Amino acid sequence: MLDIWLSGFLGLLQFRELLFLAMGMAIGLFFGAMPGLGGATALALLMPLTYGLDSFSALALSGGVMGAVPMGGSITAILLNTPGSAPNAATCLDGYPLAQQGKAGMAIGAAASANSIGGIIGTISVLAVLPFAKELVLLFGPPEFFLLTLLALVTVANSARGKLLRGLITGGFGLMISFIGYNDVSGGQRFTLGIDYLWDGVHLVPALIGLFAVAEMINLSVKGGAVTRDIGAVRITGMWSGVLETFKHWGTVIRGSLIGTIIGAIPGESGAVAAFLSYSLTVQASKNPESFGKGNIQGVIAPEAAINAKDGSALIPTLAFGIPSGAEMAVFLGILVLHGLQPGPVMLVQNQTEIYGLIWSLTLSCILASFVGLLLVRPLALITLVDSKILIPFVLCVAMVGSYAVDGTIENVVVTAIFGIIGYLMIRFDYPRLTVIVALVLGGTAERNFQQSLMISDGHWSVFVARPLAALLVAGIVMLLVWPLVRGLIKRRAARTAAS
Amino acid sequence: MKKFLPSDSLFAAGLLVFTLGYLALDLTYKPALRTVPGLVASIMAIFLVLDLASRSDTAWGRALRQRLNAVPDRPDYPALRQIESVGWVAGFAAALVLIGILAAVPLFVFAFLRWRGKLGIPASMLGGAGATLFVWLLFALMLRLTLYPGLIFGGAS
Repeated sequence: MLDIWLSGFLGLLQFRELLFLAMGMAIGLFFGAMPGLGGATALALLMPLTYGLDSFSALALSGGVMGAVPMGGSITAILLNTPGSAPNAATCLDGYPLAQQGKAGMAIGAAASANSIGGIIGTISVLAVLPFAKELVLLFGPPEFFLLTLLALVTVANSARGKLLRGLITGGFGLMISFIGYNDVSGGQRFTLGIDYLWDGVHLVPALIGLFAVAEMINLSVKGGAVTRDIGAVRITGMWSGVLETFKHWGTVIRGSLIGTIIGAIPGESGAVAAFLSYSLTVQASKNPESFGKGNIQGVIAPEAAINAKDGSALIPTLAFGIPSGAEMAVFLGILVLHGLQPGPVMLVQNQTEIYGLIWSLTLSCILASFVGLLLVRPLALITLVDSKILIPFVLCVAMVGSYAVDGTIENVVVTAIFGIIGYLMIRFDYPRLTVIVALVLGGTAERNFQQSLMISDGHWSVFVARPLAALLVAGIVMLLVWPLVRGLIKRRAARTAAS
Repeated sequence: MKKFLPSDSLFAAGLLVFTLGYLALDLTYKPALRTVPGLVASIMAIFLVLDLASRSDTAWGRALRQRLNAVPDRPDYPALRQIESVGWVAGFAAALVLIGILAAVPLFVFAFLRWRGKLGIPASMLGGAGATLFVWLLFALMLRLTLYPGLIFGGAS
C-alpha cells in the first residue's frame, strides 16, 4: 500500500505536474474568491483545456483547483462577509466580526492554517479509509440520510444560543423555500406560481449571495463607515497570531477535520453541512458560547478545517461509486470520463497511481493556497478600510453578475435581490441566517429520503428507528432539542441554590 | 426591561402571513405533493405564533424569552436611510433585468459613487468604466458568457 502512496506522490513531484498544480491553485484561489463562481465553474472552464493533457497532469490541474477554492472563498468571507461558495458562509459568522474589529489578518491567518491542517488530516483519513470505502458508504440508507439532514438542521439551529426558536423558524423558512419546484419522487411541481424558472426550485447560489453579500452591503450602507471600525488595529494584528491561535485550539481543528472527513464520505452531503456542523458543535462544546458570532477565532478555525478535510474524503463516493457529492465533483467526474477513467470499484484497483496522485495534489494545493493567502494577508486586509460608499457598488456588481453567471439566467439576479432584502431584515430583527442556508441545501434531499424511506417500509414510520445507526441519529436529535430546556432548568436551579 | 413596540414583530408577522399563504396554496396539491411542505409550514406557523407571543410583556412572553427566544436590544436606524439602501439594490436589479448588464453596471456604479459616495464626476465615471471593464473581461471574455442584453433590448426572461 505504502509504495502506491509514494508512487502517486513522486509522480506529482515532476516539474510539469507541479506547474499544472500551481496553475490550478492560482485559478482556484481566484474563482473561490468570486461569489457565484467557485470550483465547479473553474473546472468546467478548464475541462476542454485538459483534453490535450495526459490523465495525471489533468488530475494535478483539477486537484490544484479543488484544493485552493476554499481558501479563496474564505478570504472574501472574512473581509467582506461575501462567501465565495456555500461552505464559506459558515466562516462569515465569526470571520467578518473579526474583520470589523480590525483583526482580519488574524482571521485569515487562522483560516489559512486551519485549511492546511484540515487538508492534511483529510488526506490521511482518505488514505486510511479508501480501502474500506464501500462498507462505510453502505451504512447509510434513505432513513439515515433523512435523519442526518434533520440532525444537521437542529444542530445548527441550536448553535445560536438563546435563539433556538428563531433558529427553527428560519430553518423552517429555508425548508419551505426548498420545496418549491418539481418533486421527482411524487412527480409534480409545487409553489411555482406559473413561473418556469421555479420548476428547478430556488437556486442555492443566488440565494446565498443575496443572504450574505447583498444583505451585508445593505447593512453597511445603512450603518455607513468602513467594514473595520478600528482603523489602527488592522495594521497591528498580524497573520502569525492567527496561525498560533489555530495551534492553540488544536482540539477544534481535529474535531472539524474529522467532521469534514465523515460528512465528505457520505454521497449527497455537501461541504456546507460539514462546515456548519463543525461550527455548531464547536459552539456547543465551548465554555464561552456567547462569544460566537461576535468574533471568536474558533468560529473561523472550525469550519475551515472541516471544509478542506471534506474535499479529500468527498473523493471516496466520487471515485468508488461515481456518485458526486456536489456540483464541483460532478464536473470533476466529467474530467475523469474525458480522460478514459471510469469511476467505480474497478478504478480503485486499476488507476491507483492516478488516484493517489490526485489526493496528494489536492493536499499540496491547499497548503500552497494557504501559504499564498498568508502572503496576501496585509494588502488584502486593507480592503476593510475602504469607505463603504466606495466599496458597495463594486461588491454589488460582482455579486449580481456572478449570480447571473451561475447558469446564465437573469432570474437569478431577482432571486439575489429578494434574498438580499430578506437577509437584511434578518440582520435587523436578529434572526439567524445560517439555518436558512442549511435548510436550502438539505431540504430537497431530506424530503426525497423521507419519501423513499416510507416507500421502502410501506408507510411504516418505524423505519426511522429500525436500524442501530438510525436509532442513534434519532436519539441525537431528541437530545439536541431537549438540551437547551434542561440546561436552562439546571442554570436556574443553580442560581436559586446560590441565592438561598 | 425591554419595551416592545409593534415594529419589533413586523418580520415575524410578515413570515406568518407568508406561511399561511403557503399553507393555503399547499392544500390545492395532491396528497403526495403536499404532505411534507404542509407539515413543515404548520409547525412553522406554531413557532411564529410563539415568537410573536415572546415579544409581549405578558407572563407567557417573559417565560418564552427566558427559555427559547432571547430578544436583544438592537440599534435603530432612520427608516428613510434603510428604504434608500434597499432601493439602490432593488433599482440595480431592475436595471440589470431591463437594460442589461453592460448598460446597468456603469450606470449603477456611476450613480452610486456620484450621489451616495459624493465623488466628483470624473472619479465616478472612472469607477463605472473600471467596473464594466472588469465584468466584461471576467464574464464575457474569460468565461465566454453572453452578457444579458436586457428586456428592452431583446433579452428573454
